[in-house]
Amino acid sequence: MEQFGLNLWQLLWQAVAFGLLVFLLVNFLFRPFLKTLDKRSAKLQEGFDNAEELKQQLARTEGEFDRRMAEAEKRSQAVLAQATEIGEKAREETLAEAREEAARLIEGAREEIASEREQAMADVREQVADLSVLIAQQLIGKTLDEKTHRRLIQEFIAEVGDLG
Amino acid sequence: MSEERESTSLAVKVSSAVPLTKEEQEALREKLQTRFGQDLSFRFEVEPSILGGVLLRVGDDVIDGSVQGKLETLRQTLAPSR
Repeated sequence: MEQFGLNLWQLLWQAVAFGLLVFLLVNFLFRPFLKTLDKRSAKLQEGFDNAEELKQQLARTEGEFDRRMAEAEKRSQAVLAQATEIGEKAREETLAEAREEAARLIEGAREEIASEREQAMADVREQVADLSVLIAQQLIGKTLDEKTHRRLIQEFIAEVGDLG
Repeated sequence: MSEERESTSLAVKVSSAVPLTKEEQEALREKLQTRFGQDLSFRFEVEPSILGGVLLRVGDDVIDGSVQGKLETLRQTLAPSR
């Protein structure tokens, strides 16, 4: 080896130095650097995972929100429909009662008018009858002569016999 | 003008606006005796208010042949409500 100008001890020393240098570089520079890189990568991955989880949670929350909103909307529609139905029913009942009351009042008024009319007619008939009889009594009292009296009496006697 | 008989006989009251003649009274007695067939007690009265004809009461029965009775019937026909 000396033919080529190489010193064996120097070569060994350089190899040991190089190996020591490599050892030091690997252990104190590359490994911490790689560890740091791994940590950062893990943190980034964790961040991504958290972001994804948050995204999914947000989607779930939005779905739940939509579902609850739809349910609330459905309930409010049902309540509104029920309230409308109750209101309509109450309105119809009130109208029906009002119509019945009006019909009852009209019928009562008609009956009262008819009754009063009938009473008035009866009063007029009675007055006409009383007046007619009074006039007839006065006329007959003045105009019945003896001959007519005798004829009426004889007719009665004849009728009494016929009745038996 | 009245005539009474036994109290057990059937009472007949004869009312007229003018007095009945004897012939009319007899005719009426005969008719009623024939019709009722029992002893009758007659009483004849003048009631000007019956206007004319005869009003006969035999016991509880009334046979109205008076002008006032006919007018009352007429009045009932004209105004039946009373």
